[in-house]
Order: sequence, then structure tokens, then C-alpha cells
Amino acid sequence: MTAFLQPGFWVFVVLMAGIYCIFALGLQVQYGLGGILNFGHVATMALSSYTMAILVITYNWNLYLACFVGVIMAGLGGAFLGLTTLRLRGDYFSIVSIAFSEIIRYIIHNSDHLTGGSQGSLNIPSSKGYASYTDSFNKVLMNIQDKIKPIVGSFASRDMALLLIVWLTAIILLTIMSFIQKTSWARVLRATREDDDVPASLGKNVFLFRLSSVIVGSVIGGIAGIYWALEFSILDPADFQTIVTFFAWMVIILGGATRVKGVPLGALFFGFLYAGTRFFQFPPFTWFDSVQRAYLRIMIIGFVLIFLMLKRPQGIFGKREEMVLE
Amino acid sequence: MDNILEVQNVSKSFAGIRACENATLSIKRGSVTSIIGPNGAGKTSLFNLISGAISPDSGSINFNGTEIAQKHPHEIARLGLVRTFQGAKVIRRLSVMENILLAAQNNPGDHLWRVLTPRVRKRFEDAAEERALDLLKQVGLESFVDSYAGILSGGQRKLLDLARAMMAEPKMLLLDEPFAGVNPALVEKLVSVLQSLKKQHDLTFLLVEHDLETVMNISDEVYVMAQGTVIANGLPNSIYDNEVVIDAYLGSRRKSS
Ligand SMILES: Nc1ncnc2c1ncn2[C@@H]1O[C@H](COP(=O)(O)OP(=O)(O)OP(=O)(O)O)[C@@H](O)[C@H]1O
Ligand SMILES: [Mg+2]
Repeated sequence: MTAFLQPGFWVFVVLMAGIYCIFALGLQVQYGLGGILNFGHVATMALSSYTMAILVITYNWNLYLACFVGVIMAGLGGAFLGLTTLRLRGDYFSIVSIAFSEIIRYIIHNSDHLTGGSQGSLNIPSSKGYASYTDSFNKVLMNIQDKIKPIVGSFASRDMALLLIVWLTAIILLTIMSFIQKTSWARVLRATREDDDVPASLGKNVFLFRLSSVIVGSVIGGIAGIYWALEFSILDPADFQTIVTFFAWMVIILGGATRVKGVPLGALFFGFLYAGTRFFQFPPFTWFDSVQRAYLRIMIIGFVLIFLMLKRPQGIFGKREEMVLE
Repeated sequence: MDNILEVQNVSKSFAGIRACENATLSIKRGSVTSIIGPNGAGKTSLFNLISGAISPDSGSINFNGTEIAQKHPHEIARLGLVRTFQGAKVIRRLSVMENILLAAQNNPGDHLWRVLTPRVRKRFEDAAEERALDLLKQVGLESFVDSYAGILSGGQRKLLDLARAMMAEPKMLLLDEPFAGVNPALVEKLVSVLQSLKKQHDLTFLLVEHDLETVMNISDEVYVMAQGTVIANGLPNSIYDNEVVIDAYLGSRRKSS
């Protein structure tokens, strides 16, 4: 119960919500606009974070350059998935996207010489004898931490510094995305959510619109992956299971899938729900052991989602009229 | 007069069903041509073949000097050959205005990087909106500009579909049963709209229609299809008296009148 009262814990919760906000924004571009059901989004995080870590640890790259290439790698992963599968009908794309992210995870798991395999980034081959990719970034965070100390006092911490960077990034991306929503690019995508024939008959290359939205979404997911890696300092293939993709789905369903501004609220809501359920340390929850309780948390989030779907199917911010038009 | 569209020996089967068999049509530039024929004759399939929605098993289709038989729908639309759909397809969760704006050609905003040039986008959108509003007025939908297209009635959806096709600046329009389910007064109005559009934009029309009276009134030439093939073509009057056509399509209705 003590963690409940510690500011550091809540800073962590808000930080993670920020990372989920960015991650889910990448899904929102695909689903909220084009109705593309990508269930393999977590692959973008895995691709960017591992690429970055390997470049820094094994090849001694500059951190920022490595981050950039990591994000590009996530975009390429999205392009590969899209080019091979987007021509299929929507439901096939969904199935293949899950397989795609699982394949990426297995490759990471089984490429010991490159990724450290099941031991994660700790075991990435390194010339320096130890495997850390956050050394240079930690200095930056220390710097920020010192600067904000006079303002936030005891809240100043490594997490707090990263929290500011993450949410600043999130706000920038949200702003860009809300501009993009007003373009005719977005309009065509919203049309393809309902029907391919009409936009095609008016001269739109539907495939290219879908492909570009998956690539944009993957790049954004890749950015989230970089922050994930920087927060945890250690990567593990088990961090990138399909359940993480579904967390992002929860975020955008909570927020209302068609509205960009729903994403940060959905992310905070999810973050607090996910963290808050940790403190269910009273009966009947204490009847279960901690492993069982971990699953219970996910079940409770599921129940909240179902309740929300019944009471407010359009999400916190969605437009109800859009849902009832048949 | 030269031909804007040449369809030659086009065939298409679906798992044994011959939707189209050796269909051959020549459409004169600036004309109104109608296709009539019983249900399942292959009229819509022919439209799908011409517009690229399905690709032919054999045969060639030439539009305005370009071979289009193997092209994608969006490429064909960009050449100026635009179609509407049987039963009218509107995007229900876009507003009426957004539906029409979808058809604006060469929209810079279609390219994602153009998010960086809001002024260029806005200038284009403003001009497009003005043109769209003008088209909406012509079909009498101006009071629905900001409504979701999903709330429109069946007939109104047809009007929107037509206005949207016009927005794409076609050289030639393929209209699949534009008058079906539209009230008689509106049919009259639609015909006059089509005729004025035709004059303004030097358009060619190819339409599929079961409303014979209207077909006979507005067409320069009529093609009759049955079981996937063209069984007759010619001036409207000659079609009306053609024995083969009477048997295949017009039936007793013609005989008793
Ligand atoms: N995608 C398809 N798959 C299988 N069969 C098809 C397909 N499209 C059309 N057909 C078949 O081709 C034949 C011609 O259909 P088509 O829609 O072209 O008829 P139509 O002349 O437009 O009729 P109507 O006047 O009723 O609209 C029908 O027998 C139909 O079942
Ligand atoms: Mg038909």
C-alpha cells in the first residue's frame, strides 16, 4: 500500500501513460481513419527499440542517430507488413498482423548473437564489455532533473525528466495528427473505412492511402518503442507480446477511436486503471496470489471496457451519430 | 463524329456464369447511349469491366485513345471515365459535402507531406467547395451540405452519387440505372440536369436504364444486351421495332401496347 502514497509511483504511471499515448496514437491513425485493424502494432516497438539498442551497444553508434534509425526500422516493418498484406481483405490483414508481430518477437528471441535472445539487451554483444544503451541519455535526464528541481521539488527524478520529454513528444505528435485529420488524405481514408469502390472510382489509389497510414502509424509506434527502451534500460522479448498491442487498443477504445484528442485521455485513464488495480489488496482480491491477481487486473480492465461499451460505445470522446448510421 | 469508347469482344465469366460474352460497343463522343436488357443480362458487369472494377478474360477496351482493359479503377477514373453504382453508393459517415469533395481531382491534400503547406491545401479546398456547392444546388441537395450522407433517402443518394461523379470532371459518365427509384417529376428534372451538364462540359453518357420511355427520349443510340451479349443496337426507334429485342426484353408489354 505504501507505493500508493509515493509520488514517484504516480510519476511512473503518468510516464507510462505518455508512452502508451504515443503508441496508441500510431494505432489511431490506422483504425480511427482507415478502419484498419492492426493487431501486430507491438512489432513497431520491438523493431525500433531493439534496432536502437543493437546499434548503440554493438556498433557504438551515437544514441540519437540510433534512435532515428530505430524509428525508420519500425516504419520499414510497417511498410513490409502493408505491402505484403494490405491488398487482402481487412480481416486477413488483422490475422497476418498478429502473426507478423509474433514472428518479429520469435526472431528477437532466437537471434542470441544479435539481440541477446531470451536474456534481452543485457546479452547483446558489446565491445565495451557491458551492455547499456542509456549511458549518454542518462546524462541528459540528469541535466533536466537538476533544472526542474527548483520547480517540482521532490518530484524531480529520472522518471519525471523522461515524463516531460515523453508528454512533450506526445503533444507534438497529437498536434501534427490533428492537422493531418483535416487533410483530404484523411478524408479519403475515412471513406475507405466504409467502401473501397467509391474512392477508387473517383481516382484514388486506395492501396496507397492504406499503406501510407500503416507506415505513419508504425513510425509513431516506433517512437513509443524508443521511449519504452529508454525508460526501462533493459529490453526483453517478453515485453513485446500481443497483449501490449491490445493495451493500445484499450486506450483508443476508451478514448473514442475516431478522435485524436481521445487518445491522451484514454491513455491516462488506462494508465491509472492498470496501476490502480494493483492496489486491490483487500478481500476478495487477497484470496488470490499475486500471479492470479495480475490476471485479475486485466479482467477488471476488461469489465470496465465492457461497461463502457454498453454505456458509451463511442468512447469518451467519440461521436455517437457516427456509430448509429447504418 | 469519332468514338470516345471502343469495347471490342470483351468476355468475362464467373465460375462458369458468362456475365459478358464478346461484348462489342462503339460510343460516339458527345452522345447519349443507353444499354437495356433483362435482369442478369450483364449490363452492370459490362460497367464493371469498363471501369476496371473487374478485369476482362479477353477483349480490348479503348477509351479516348488509351487501352484501359488492364488498368486499375483509379487510373481509369483519372483518364476522365467516371461511373456511378447501381443503387447509388454514398459514404454514410462522411457529410454530403465531404462525399463530393472526395471526387475533386489532383487534390494536393491527398499527399501526406502537404500537411506542411496548409495554404496550398486551403486554396484548393475553397475552390473545390465552391464547385461542389454549385453541383449540389443543381441536384437540389444544398440544404444537406453538412448532414451525414447516411441520412439521405434512396433517391437523394442517387442525386449525390451523380453530383459526386460530376465533381470528378469526367469526359464520359457511366450511369447505372440513374432513374430507378426516383419519382417521375425528379426524373424529368434529372434529365434536364444531365442535358445541361452535357452541354456545359461536352460530356458523353453511357447509361443502363429500365425506364424505357426515358431511354427512348434521351438516347442517341441504344444497345440491347441479353445473356451477356449485345443482341442489337441502333437508333431508339429501330430497337423498339426489332423482333429479337421484343422477344428478349420488351416482351408482351410492347406487344399489347
Ligand atoms: N462478382 C460476381 N460473381 C459471380 N457472378 C457474378 C458477379 N457479378 C455478376 N455476376 C453474374 O453475372 C450475371 C450478370 O449480372 P449483372 O449484374 O451484370 O446483370 P445486370 O444486367 O446488371 O442485371 P440487373 O438489370 O438486374 O441489374 C448475373 O448472372 C450475375 O449473377
Ligand atoms: Mg445491373
